[in-house]
Amino acid sequence: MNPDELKPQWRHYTSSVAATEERPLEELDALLPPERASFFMARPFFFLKNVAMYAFIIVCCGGC
Amino acid sequence: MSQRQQFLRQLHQHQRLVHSLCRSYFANTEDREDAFQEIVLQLWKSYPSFRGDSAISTWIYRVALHTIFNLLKQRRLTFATLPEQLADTGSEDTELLRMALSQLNPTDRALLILYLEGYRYQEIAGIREMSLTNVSTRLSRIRQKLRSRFQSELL
Repeated sequence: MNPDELKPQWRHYTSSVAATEERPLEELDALLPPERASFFMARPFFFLKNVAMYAFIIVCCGGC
Repeated sequence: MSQRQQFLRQLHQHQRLVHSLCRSYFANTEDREDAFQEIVLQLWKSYPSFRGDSAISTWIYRVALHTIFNLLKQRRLTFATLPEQLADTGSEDTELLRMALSQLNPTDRALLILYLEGYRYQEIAGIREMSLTNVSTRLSRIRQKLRSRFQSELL
């Protein structure tokens, strides 16, 4: 047997597999790790606290 | 479009390759599902390093086969000596293919699959990280093996 003879069978095999097992985008998305929110979005209070703290230091030091 | 969306779109378009490999290597549904999930995860992890030097399908084959071989090495999943029959059984269309694949060990099976996908020897060597000579020798042996196996069956 020549492997080339198997090429049409392989095409049939893969297209049949695809027809039965293909998944929608949402299902594929569910297999990925959850998206990480950006740092500012993930920890807004931490971010705002630091901004306020640095603003306070700058204002205080501005008076010195 | 975000990187995630771009990846998902390409995976969705080429998922046939991954499913076919899982079918060809793993006997039961749970193993196939495990393998599919692991391959998708590995593809996602290595997606940022995909620079488009090769076709996306070539890259998918490379990562998917690498993952499959790792899973087999860790003995987490069972290698399907005879790949499972398709749902549309009865058709003799794929019977010869299944029999041919069943004659081959995991490495040779990968080479034959890539050959059947239409890849050239040089491309197969790149995907499997083997030398061109090695690919050529192995495919020649596969050809001989299949020829003698199926001729003896016909006699």
